[in-house]
Amino acid sequence: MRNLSPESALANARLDRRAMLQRSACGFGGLAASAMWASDLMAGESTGASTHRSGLPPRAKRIIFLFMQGGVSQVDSFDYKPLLAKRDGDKLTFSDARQLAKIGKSTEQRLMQSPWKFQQYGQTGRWVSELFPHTAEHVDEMTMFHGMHTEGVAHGPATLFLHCGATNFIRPSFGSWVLYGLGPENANLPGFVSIAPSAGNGGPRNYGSAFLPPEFQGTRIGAVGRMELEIDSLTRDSLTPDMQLENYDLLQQLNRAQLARRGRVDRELDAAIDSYELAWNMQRVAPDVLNLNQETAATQAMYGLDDPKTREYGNRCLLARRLCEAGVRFIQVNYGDNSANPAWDQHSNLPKHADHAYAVDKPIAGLLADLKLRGLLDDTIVWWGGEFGRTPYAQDNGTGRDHNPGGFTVWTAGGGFKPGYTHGETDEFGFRAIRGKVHMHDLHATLLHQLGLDHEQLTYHYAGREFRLTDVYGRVVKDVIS
Amino acid sequence: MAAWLIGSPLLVVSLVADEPLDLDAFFESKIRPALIAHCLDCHALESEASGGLLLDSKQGWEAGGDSGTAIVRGDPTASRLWQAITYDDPHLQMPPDEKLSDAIIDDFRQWIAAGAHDPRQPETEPGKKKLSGLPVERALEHWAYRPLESTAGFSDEPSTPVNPLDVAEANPLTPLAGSASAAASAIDVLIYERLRIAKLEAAPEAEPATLARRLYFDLLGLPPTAEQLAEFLADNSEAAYARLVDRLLASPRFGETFARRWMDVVRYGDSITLRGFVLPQAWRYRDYLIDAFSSDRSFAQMIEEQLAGDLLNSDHPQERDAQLIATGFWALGNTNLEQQDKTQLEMDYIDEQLDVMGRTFLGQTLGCARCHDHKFDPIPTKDYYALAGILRSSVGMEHDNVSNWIEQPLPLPLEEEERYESLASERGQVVREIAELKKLVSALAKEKAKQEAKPQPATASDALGTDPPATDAAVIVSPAEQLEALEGRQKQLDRELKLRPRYLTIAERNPPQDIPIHVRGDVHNLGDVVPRGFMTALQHASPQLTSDQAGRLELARWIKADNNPLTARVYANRVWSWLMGQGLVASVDNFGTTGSAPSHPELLDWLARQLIDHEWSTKHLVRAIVMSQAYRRAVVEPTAAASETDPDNRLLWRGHARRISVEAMRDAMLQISGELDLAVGGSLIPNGLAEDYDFNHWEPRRSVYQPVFRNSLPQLFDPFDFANSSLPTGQRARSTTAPQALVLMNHPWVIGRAAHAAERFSACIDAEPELRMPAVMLDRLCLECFGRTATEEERVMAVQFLENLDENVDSRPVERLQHLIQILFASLDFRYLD
Repeated sequence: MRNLSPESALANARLDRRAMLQRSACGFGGLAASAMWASDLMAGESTGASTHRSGLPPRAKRIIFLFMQGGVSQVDSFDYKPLLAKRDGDKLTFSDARQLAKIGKSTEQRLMQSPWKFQQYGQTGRWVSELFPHTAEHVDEMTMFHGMHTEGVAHGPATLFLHCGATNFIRPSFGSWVLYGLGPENANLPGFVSIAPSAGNGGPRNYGSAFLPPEFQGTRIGAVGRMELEIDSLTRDSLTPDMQLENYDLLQQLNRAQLARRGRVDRELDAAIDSYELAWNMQRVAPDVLNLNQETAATQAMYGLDDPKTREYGNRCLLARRLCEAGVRFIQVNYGDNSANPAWDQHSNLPKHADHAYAVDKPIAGLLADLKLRGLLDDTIVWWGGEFGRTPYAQDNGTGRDHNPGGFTVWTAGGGFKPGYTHGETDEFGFRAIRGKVHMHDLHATLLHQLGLDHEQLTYHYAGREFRLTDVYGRVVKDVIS
Repeated sequence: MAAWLIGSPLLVVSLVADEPLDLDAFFESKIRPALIAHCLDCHALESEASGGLLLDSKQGWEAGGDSGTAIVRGDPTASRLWQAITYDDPHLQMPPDEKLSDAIIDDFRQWIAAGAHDPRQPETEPGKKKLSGLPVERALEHWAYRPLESTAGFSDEPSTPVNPLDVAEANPLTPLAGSASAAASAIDVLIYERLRIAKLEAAPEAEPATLARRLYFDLLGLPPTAEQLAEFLADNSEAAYARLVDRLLASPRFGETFARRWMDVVRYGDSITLRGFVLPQAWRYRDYLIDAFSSDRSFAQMIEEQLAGDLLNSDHPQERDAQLIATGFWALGNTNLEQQDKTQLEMDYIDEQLDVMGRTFLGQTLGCARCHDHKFDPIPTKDYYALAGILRSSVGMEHDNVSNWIEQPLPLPLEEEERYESLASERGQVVREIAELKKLVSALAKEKAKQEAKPQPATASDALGTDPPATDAAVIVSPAEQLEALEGRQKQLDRELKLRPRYLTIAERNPPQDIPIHVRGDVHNLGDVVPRGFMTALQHASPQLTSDQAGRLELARWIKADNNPLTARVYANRVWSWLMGQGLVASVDNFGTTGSAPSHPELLDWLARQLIDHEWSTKHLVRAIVMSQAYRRAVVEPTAAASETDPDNRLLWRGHARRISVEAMRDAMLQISGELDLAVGGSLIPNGLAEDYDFNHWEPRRSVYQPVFRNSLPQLFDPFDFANSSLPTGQRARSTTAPQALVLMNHPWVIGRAAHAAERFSACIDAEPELRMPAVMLDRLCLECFGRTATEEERVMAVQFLENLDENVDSRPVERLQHLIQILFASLDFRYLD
C-alpha cells in the first residue's frame, strides 16, 4: 500500500489529532473508528450518546436482518395449526384488524387451511411447512417468536413501525440507532447497510437517520430488481488506477496547501482532508468485499447462486456474510419490491407464497450454515421476519390472506438467543398472539440488549427532549436469551 | 351466612364467596405477588409510571393514572384496573403482553370487592412522579416569554465615524458609523460592548475578494463570476461594499436563496415517502416564497398568509392567489396516508402541523405536550388540545383506504373560468351519454344472446368484440363506435381539465368544535374537553374565540402580533443564523427552557425590534446584518486570550469559517460549467408523474427548483447534509464524511460538470489565446472557483499536472483540464468560505 502522507511530520501530527478525536468522539470510547468513517462537527442538539450500555457484556456485535417484505403468512410457514385444516371453510367471527380500524367491529370470516404440508425437523421436532425445507434444517439453531404483534394494519405504517418504531412520525431507523450506539467496527466500510431496499412503504426512511447525525444513516447497496450489488460513487472504473492516484495526490496536495495558507488550526478542514484519505482507502477495500467472485463454487452453490430463481437473494445473503466478516454492524438483506403490494403480500393468490419461499429458502439456509461454519453465528444475530403476518382466514372469502398485525412469527438465530427455543403462541387458528406476546417494541429492546445496548438508555436529545427507538415502551424478553 | 365482624378493618365478609377474608393475608399472599410479577415493571416509582399510574403503594393507585381513578373500592366493574386486566376494553388491556390467569383475575375481583385493602407504605415521596417544568404562572421567569426589551438609547440617525477598535472607550449606546448604516452600527455597539467586557480584540475586516465571495454565497447562493468579482474590486469608493449589498439584495437570486432556507424550516417536499406519491402542486408554495422574499413582503404578512391565507380576501387576483397558495404550509407533511385508523391519522396530522407551526414561528416544542404536560416548558396538555381544536376545523385529507391530500382550483380570470366551466359541463354531458349508450349496447347484446341462446357476454366490451356477428352488425357497431368516440372525448376533456391550475391546501370543513384531551395522546382515550385557545404562557393579548370562529385566522394574528414575544425573536434569530452561521440563540428551533440562552440578549431584542419597526422587512434586517463589522470580520487564528475565553467565537470577535450548502455547491458547479439555467419559477415535475422513484434530476436549473422528492433527492443532496425534508430544520447538520469525498471524486454528475467546464474553457482559447498557457488557464479557473487567482504553490502543482501528458497512458489535454477542474471542485477553497 502506498504511503499517502509522505511528509511524515505532518502525518504524525494528524495521527495525534486523530487519536485525540477517537478518544473524545461521542463517548464511543475504545472504538477505533468512529471519527474515521465520519466526523461530525455540529449536528442536532445532542451532546452525544451517553451511557447507553446495558452494563452486561454484549452477546452479539452485529445483526443481519432478513426482511421479508409484504408479510409472510405464519400459518403457512412456521406456526403450525392442525385445527385450521380440520375446520377449513368454517365461518367464525374474528376481530380483523383492518375492519376494526375502519368500522370498529368484528366480522365473520371463512377459515382457510394451509395448502402446504408440515413436518417436524431437527432434534427439537419443530413443525415447518414444505415452503421452507432448507431453512427448516436449521430449526435447532433458531429461536421462534410465535407471539409477535405490532402496530399498523397497512404496509406503510407497519413497515415504518418495524424499522423505526413509529407508524407515522419521522424517527431514526433501527440500524441507525445501532450504529449510533456501537459505532462502526471497520472504518473502511459503512457501519449500516441495506441491500436492495424497497423504495416503497417508507423507502429511505426505513434506513434513514432522521434527527440522528447523518453519519448514522444506512448506506444503500444495489437496488430492487437489480442483480448488481454496488455502492453509489464507490469507484470510477473509467480511469486507470494511475490516473486516479495522480488525481488524488494533486487534490490532497492542493488541500494541504490551501489549509496551510489559512495559517490557522481548523478541525473541520482537517476532517475534510481525512475524509478524502478514508474515501481513498474505502474505494480500494470495499469493492473487494462486494466482489462475490472470490467465493468458491461450493460456497456459491450453498447460497443457491447456481439456480436462476435463487441467485438474486443468494447474492445478497452471501454479500451479507462478507460484510458481516468485514465488521459491518447492521446488514439488512431485503426481499421485496417497490409496489404497493410488495412481494409476500398475497391478498388474493396465496399459492404465490411458494415462489417467494423458493427464492429465499436456500439462500437463507446457506447463510445460516455458512455463518455457523465460520463461527460467526456466535456473535452475529440473524433476524428473519416481515412487517406483520397474515390472517388464518381467507380475505373477502377469496383465495388469499389479509394483513395480520395481531399475531405472527419471526425467528432469530445466533447472537446469544436460546437455540431451538420457542417463545409464545397464537390462538388455535394462529390468528392472535395469546401467550408469550412480544410486541415489536419488545423485539427491538431485546435485539438491542443482545448488542449490549439498553433501549431505555440509548437516547438522543432532539426538539427539546430525549428520544429513543422504543419511545416509552418495550421490554427485554429475558426468556429467549441463552 | 357468616357474621359481619363490624369494627375490624382486617376482616370483612367477601360478598361473593360468603367467606370472611383475612385482608392482610389475602393481600400478601395473592395481590402483592401478582402486582410484583405482572404490574410493577411499568407502574412503580423505581421503574416508570406508565399511564401516570403507580401500583407500588396505596397512595399511588389512590391518586389514579392519566385515565382517572384506577380502583373504585368495592366495585370491580367500575374500576379501570379491573377493566384492564379482564381485557374487556380493546384499547386498555393489561398486562399488555399476556392476559393474567383467570385465578389471578378473580383474586383482584375479590380484593377490590372487599375494599382493596392495601397495607403498603410508600417508600418514597408520593407525587414524585409528577415531573413538572416551569408552570404557566411563572412563565416570565424564562427570558423568551418576556416582552422585548426597550431599545431606548439607540438613534436611527447615522453619526460620525468611530474607530471600532476604540469602542471600548466609547459610550456603548452611541451608534457607531464604521459603515453607511446606522442599524449596522447599532449591532456593532452591542457586540463590542461584550468584547470589551471580555477583553477580546475584534479581528480586522476580511479581504475584499473574500468578503465578496462570502456575500455572494450568503445572499445569492452562488459564487461571483470572474467578471462580477472584477467589477466589485475595481470600485475603490467608500460605498463599494454598500453598493454591492444593494445590488445583491435586488437580484432575483436573493429570493431563491432565502426561500430555500425557509423551505428547510417548513419541511418542504414535493412528494410523500409512502408509495412515492407526487405532490404536483407543492411548487406553487415554493414559488410563493421566492416571490415573497424577492419582493420583500412583510414577514408578518407571510405568517398570516401561510397560516390562514384562505380566510383572507384580497380583491387583487394575484394577491388572492398568493394567499391561497401560501396555505400549502399546512399540507407539506410527510404523512402516512395509508394509516387505517383514520381517527389516529387525523390526530397525527394535526400533531405534525402543531409541531411544525410551534417550532417554525414560536421556537416551541408543542409536540411534547401531546401526551402529558410539557416536562420543561410552560405548555400544559390543555394548551396543546386548545390549539389542536383550532386545527381540527380544517381538514387536510379526504379519507379512503389511502387518504388523499387536498387540492383546490385556483381562481382564474373570468373567461378562463368560463372555459373550464364549459369543459366541465361538457364532460358531465359526455359521461351521461356514455352511460346511456352502455345500457343500450348491453341491452342489444342481451337481445342477441337470447336469440342465439348462448351465454351472455360478460361485459359490454365483449359484446362489442372485434368480430361482431354479421346479422346485427349495423345496429351494434354504430353505438359501439359512438361509445368509443365519446370515451375518447371524455379522456381528452379529463386531460384538459387536469391542466387547470390547482394548489395544495387544507380546507375549512368541520364546524368549529372544542376537542377533549387525549389521555397520553391516545385517540381512543378521551378526557376533558378543552376550549379552543392559544398558549396560555404568553401574556400578550389572547383573543377570545366566539363559538362560530374556528380560530385559525385568530391564531395567525396572535402569532404575528407585534407584542408576541417569541415570533419576532425567533425569526430575527433565524435571519442572523442564515448570515452569521450560527444563531444568537444557538438552538434556533427551540426557545424553550431546554434551548440555549441568547449570547447577546440585547442584540436579539434589538434585531427583533428592528424587524417590527420596519414592517417586518427581511431585506432591512439582512442589510443591517451584512453591513455590520461583525459580519465582515476575517476568519483568523485565535489569540491565546480568545482561545481561552471564547474558543467557539460566541462573542463574535472573528468571522465564522463556513461551508457552502449543497445547493450552492451544485449551482456553482453548473455556473462554472456554463450550464446553469437561471430561469425563475415553475414546476420541473413532468405532467402526470405518479411516483417519485428513481427520478432523474437532469435539468440544469437552480437547485431550489429541483423537486424535493423524498424518495429520490437531486444528486449530491443526500450525502451533503440537505435538510431532512420531513422535519422542520432550522439548522442543518454539518458532517464531514467519506461518502461526500467519494461523491466529489466519482459521481457521474460531478464528472459531467467538470467535463462541460473543460469544454467551455477550452473553447475560450480561440478568443483568448493566452488561456493556452496553463498558468493563465489556472488563474481563470481559480477566479471562477475560489474568487482569487492561484497561489504560487498551487501554480507549480497544477501546471505540472496539466503538462504531465504521458502519451502511452492517456489522454488529450482537455481530459487533464477536466480532471483539474474536478479537483478544484473537490478542494477545500471551493467547499468552504472564509
